[in-house]
Amino acid sequence: MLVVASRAAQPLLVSLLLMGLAFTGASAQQGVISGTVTDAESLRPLASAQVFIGATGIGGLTNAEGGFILLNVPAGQIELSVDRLGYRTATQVVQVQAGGTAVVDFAMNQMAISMEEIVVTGVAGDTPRSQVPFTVERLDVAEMQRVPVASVRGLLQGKLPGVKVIQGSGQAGSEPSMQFRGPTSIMGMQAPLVVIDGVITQGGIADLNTQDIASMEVVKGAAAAALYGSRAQAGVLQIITKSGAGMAEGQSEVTLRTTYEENSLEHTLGTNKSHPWRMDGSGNFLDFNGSPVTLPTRGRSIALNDGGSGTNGGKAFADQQYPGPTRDPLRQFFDPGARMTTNLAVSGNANGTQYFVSGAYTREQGAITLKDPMTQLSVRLNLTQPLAENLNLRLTSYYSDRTRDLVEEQGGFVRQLTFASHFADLLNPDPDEPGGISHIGDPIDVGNAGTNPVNRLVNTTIAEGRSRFIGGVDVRYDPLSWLDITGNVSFDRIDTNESEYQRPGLSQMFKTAKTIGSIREDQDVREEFNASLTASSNRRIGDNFTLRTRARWLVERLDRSGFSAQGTGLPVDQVPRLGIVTGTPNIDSFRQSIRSEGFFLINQFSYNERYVGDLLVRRDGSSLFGEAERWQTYWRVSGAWRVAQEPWFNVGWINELKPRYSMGTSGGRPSFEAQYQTFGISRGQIIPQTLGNSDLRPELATEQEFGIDMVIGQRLQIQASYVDTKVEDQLLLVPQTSAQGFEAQWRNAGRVESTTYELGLEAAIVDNEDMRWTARINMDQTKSFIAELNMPAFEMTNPGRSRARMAIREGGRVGSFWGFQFLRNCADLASSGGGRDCGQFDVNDLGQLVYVGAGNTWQDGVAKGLWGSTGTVDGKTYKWGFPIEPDAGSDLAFYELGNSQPDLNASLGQDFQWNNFGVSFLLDGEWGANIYNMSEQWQCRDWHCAAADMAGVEDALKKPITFFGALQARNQPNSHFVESADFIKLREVSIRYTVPGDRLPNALLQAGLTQATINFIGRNLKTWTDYKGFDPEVGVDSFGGSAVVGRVDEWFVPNFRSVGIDVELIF
Amino acid sequence: MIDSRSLRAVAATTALLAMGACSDLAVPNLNEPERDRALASGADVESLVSGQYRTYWNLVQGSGDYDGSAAAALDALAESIVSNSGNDGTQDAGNLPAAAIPNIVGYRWGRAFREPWLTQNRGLSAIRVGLRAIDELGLSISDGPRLDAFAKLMQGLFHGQIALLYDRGFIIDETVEDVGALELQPYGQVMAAARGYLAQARTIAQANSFSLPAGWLGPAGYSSADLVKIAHSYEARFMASVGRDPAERAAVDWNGVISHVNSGVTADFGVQLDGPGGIWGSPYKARSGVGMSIGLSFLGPADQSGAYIAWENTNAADRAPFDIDTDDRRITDGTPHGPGVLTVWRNFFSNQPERGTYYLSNYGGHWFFDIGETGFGFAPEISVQEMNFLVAEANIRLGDPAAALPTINASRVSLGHLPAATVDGVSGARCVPRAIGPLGKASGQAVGACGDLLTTLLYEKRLAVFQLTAGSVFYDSRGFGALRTGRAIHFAIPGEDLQLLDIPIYSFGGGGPGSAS
Repeated sequence: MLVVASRAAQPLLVSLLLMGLAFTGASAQQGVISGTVTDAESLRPLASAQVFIGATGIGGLTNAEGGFILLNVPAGQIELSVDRLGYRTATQVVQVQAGGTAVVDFAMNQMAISMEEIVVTGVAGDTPRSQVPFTVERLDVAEMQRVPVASVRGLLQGKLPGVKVIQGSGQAGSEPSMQFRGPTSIMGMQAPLVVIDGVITQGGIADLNTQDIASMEVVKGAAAAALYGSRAQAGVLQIITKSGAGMAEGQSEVTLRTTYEENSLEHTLGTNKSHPWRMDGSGNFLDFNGSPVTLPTRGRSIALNDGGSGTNGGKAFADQQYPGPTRDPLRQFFDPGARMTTNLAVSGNANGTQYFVSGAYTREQGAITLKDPMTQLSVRLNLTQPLAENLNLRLTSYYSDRTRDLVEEQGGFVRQLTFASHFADLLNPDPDEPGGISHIGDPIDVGNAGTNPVNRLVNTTIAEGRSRFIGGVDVRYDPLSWLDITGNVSFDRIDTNESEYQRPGLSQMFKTAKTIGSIREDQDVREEFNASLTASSNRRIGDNFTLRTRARWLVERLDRSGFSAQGTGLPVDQVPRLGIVTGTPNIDSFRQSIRSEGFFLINQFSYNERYVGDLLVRRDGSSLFGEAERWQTYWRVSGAWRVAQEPWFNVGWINELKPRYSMGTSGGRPSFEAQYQTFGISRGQIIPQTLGNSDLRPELATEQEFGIDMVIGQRLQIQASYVDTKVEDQLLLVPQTSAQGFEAQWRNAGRVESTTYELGLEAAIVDNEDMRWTARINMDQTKSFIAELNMPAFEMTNPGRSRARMAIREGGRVGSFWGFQFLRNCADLASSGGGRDCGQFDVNDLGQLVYVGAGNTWQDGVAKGLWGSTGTVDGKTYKWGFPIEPDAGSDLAFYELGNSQPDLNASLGQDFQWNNFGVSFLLDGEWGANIYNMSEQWQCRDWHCAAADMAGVEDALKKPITFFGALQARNQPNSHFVESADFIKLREVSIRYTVPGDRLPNALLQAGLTQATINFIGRNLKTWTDYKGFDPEVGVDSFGGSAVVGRVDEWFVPNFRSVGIDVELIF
Repeated sequence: MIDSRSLRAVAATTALLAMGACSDLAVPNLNEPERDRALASGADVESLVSGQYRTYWNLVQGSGDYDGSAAAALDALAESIVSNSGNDGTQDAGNLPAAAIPNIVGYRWGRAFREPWLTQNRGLSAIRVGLRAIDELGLSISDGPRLDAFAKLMQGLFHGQIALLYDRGFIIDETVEDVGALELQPYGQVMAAARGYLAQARTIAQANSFSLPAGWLGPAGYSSADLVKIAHSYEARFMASVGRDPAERAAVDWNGVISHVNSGVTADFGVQLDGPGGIWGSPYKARSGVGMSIGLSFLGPADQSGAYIAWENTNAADRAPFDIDTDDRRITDGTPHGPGVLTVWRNFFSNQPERGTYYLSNYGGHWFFDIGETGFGFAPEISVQEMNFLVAEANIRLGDPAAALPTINASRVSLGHLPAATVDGVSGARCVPRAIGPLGKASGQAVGACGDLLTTLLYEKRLAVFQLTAGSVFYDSRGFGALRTGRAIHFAIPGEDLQLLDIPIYSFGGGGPGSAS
């Protein structure tokens, strides 16, 4: 019986039929074998599988529905085999009756180790990885679904060498920062280009539904990404969503998946549980006259327990317990709650139309109590529709809608929490407002602890709404067997609105006047439109040479507009409307458009499938480039030699040995404003801002990648790469002398050079029908430095703020923390212009050189009553036992204190599958990076940092509260708060059981259930680290747009761990 | 075979791409205009130039975000306020022993010392660009003399302020062809240029009659005659304030000062604030009653208990705050903790003792309490009282001390309830002020002696002009020799600009060059 699934499949089956006829010839003693070939795990049909009978020459390929039919098969017992790239060969013995038809179905198991996965990113077309002469990594759906995650970040972390993802904030829905192969840009974007089903996007990945994703491809380097030209120097992440592809005619599948997770904090920023205040025996705090102080009191009206005047913090230790109940304000309010996601997906093939439809709803309680949870609803519709015999249409569409109740970070609520002592009860009621929370924060230190942050939290609402539509249409025309032409249009629109409302009529710190209230409304609309026309050919020339050619012409238009309005003075409470403000409203808007076009030509060739290579050239034009530099050229040359495929290569246990080399270029575009000379207008006032630059070019990354890919014994795969990258024409905002009138000018003024080593090992320890045990190890290291900087060293200022901790200087590294180094030894003392008599100094347990006076050690402070005293050495006065700042003119005054980039990233993943039972885990870590712990620095200002807690500390090791204020050093960046970011995380754990169809209860079977899986999951369950903040994965995305570079811990909502259960039902 | 509908789809796609490809890659910036659009008309040039006073006012008043104004740092240098907060550089400016002001790249609080330099030079450059655009772009100005007079006024103010603050400066006006070729000039020459611009402003304004619209010099409108007066008053202030030490102050053309004051404002000149979020926002001075502590060395000369002398004689690291015992009712009501007219005793410290107990003071100020509370009200920039004190000082220095007495005694008697000073100064068992600390150093009198007339004038003027504008107390203190030894007498050019100018980074204060003796 010949089953034809679609008109498109007819030629193939006819071919099969003819092949069968040709090979066998007619015979009366012959029969027919037919059947289907499917993937044993997904049950999806497998196309292009080779079905054959031993060495008879009888065989053929399966069609798109996995079907095959072999005619003229000799009657008798036949050994029938099926072979397909990436799958273990399957064989069955078949009894063929003369004139009869034997039906045989195969369920093929994937090989644990394979380089035959098809990749599409950065290459001329669908290409097996074994034929790619540079690194293109692929993550498939099976690997990604092992531990269902809420974001793309979770799919990538720890999975691939050279891929770094940091979630700087634990606030629900926050955008992660990605970096491939280290920093490429000093001030530009570090993030890779994100392509979703061919749709180029700039709008982030946090709102994608991960259950829609079929696979992801990662192109890490400039050479591999050359195809994407001026947007791709930081690499490319291609996300390919499910489409129903591969499903047989009439087949459909419904998947219902629900995940519930409980979140919790593992680590917290340490706090001081003790205090240094003077008290009487009744538990009263005393003022400088020894009189009890009525609480709450402002500022430092309580005397210090210094054994003297009460003002000398140099003699006071935070070593007493607070009277009455205490609480940790951080633990009290950081309570990450739960997350629940329900996803319903339907995929199938109806009348030749392949489809995938899904809907998902997520509800995630933020990390802070008293705030509403984030909710997100998303829907997806993907279709592939044959329009005619040689004309196909593919449509992808996605819509999401999200609301968040935001918490102020990098200041505001989170910052104020860290200032509150354990004595503060921030839930104290407001005496003026029934049900309200008092505006008074810490009752014994109101002046420094400030307004009660919880009062502000509950009286201020910051609501964000965001909706997104991503859509794309491909029309593919195949006029010839070796030629196809594809037209594509795609669209990505993001609407974001944020409103902030502060209630009027509430009490304020130190003021008799009540709050007057304020309101702010911001709207931002971003639309990106792309269109392209692509011609692809795939020709075999002679017997040995294959040439793939692809030419594409593309246009891009990105429009963005926004509106903001804010006003103060709300005459009535609970009416958050701009129209009622009594103050002068502040209104602004913006509009920008980016237009680009380009074309590329790529030739990818293979000789005997042993010698592979490609040549690529791309021209990019963009309105972002200066007028004199509108068009730029990118290119790539690459080649690989599959040694193991040589006839003379006779090392049987080496299945693949592929040295490879690629060299190519790609770029980084300037921001919209960069090329223009601008005069700002603020409230009618015209102000010169930026000097224009018509010669502005995109950054140019040139990368050479040397690598080797090996497969040993079909059990071990090794991928190793050495990468050398130079990123020239760094886009830098070069300050102008003040006389120029303009603050700065964007220029191509620097070069970053880096080297990367990557190693990926994947082993199939056990791989048979019943059991599969695989392990993967990834390791990478990138070292980059600023080789050229045609401008003075400067701070990487966090926009609008004065808390920069990072700077750049020629010869320094990207991501370096700069500040002053506390003196460490006598050499430092001498170089810093200090005293030469180092005999009066000692090195304390923090590695700091401190003045101790002749004959003393740093541990004598309490025993000899030296804390709080001073001494003079060589004309300079020093505080006893205190860390010493370098002189302003010293090299140590502006010193490279550390760097945010790790020396080594490594991960270990294990997956064990025994029949229907599976266990997997992933360990992920980094070594050698630093974090600037600014949260702790500010805590130390008021000795609220944990290190200042002297309760139970032996006298010799005690330090007074003022010591920690000296460490805070007026918020100057300094060496003390540069911490090691080393960590190992138990990133993922999964314990799962799949109930096969034949074991399901009848009632469920009758309901159509074919498979059920229950999965106990854990994410970030355990972090081994010495870092003193909440989580070593933290950072500010203001520095070059990446928290991977800007690893400054600046009062963020912390990341958390989660445990949960995931249930998947397939109908 | 392909059907016609499919063909049309392909054709439509191709056409769409072709249309897109024809798009022009030259995209205008619709948010921020370039020069030709920003200055497309005479009105635009007027907007550019007329907005500069707001820039100046924000700087000298520390309006809005205080970080970026030198006001607090100058008060800290003069010890009129004490703050060991890192913000605004006050801890570094007020530390003891006095250290050089950090001028390194990356200095966390460098904006206080850097922003006045950058912003005012950019203001001057903006005026240059605007005035040159009139000819270069052939623009028509509705009232040329008004614009010219205002531009000259602003050139005078910016150059004058730079000359007060920095050791050197550029001279930038519309005649400069290449700003990149400018060379730094000593502060004296910069001040001379400033006075020249102010004179030009007056000349133009006197020769023409015009009205300055609301918004040019604050929310109020002014006449050309008002502009003349304002320019005179500023010039009087600049002349008296530019001296870095007593010798330079003594050498001021005091007759000229009197002349300018007499031709200057006759009522306080300033800005009516328009509330939180307004264009003319709440200035730094509004903090005097809210968070700032008044320095004990600022109020200490009024003390009769000996506590201030003891405080001065104690090692800085061991100083503890003290209560002032004084008959000056502007400081207390006669009881140790009772409020005075201008200051109030508070039972707390704004500052952290661990950073130095010499920063501690229980006294807060009530000078501008009301505008601090609400963000509304009148914020003076030049007061008649300030001008009167300039004349009084001139009278003393010119040998007519009696003429100075009415000004010196005005507030002293009516608000302070103190005996009037005489040409010999003050006297009596509880005389106010006494020559102690930096104030006493200026007079050269014995420690604790009753202040002579010039010392009394400085004491009285400090109370009168406290936080009137950035540097109100600082400029007088350096000119009288009443800055504490080692304090910087002016700022260095910011390190960031020095790097760009290829000049080695330097700084002042700490006992080295540019330090008060």
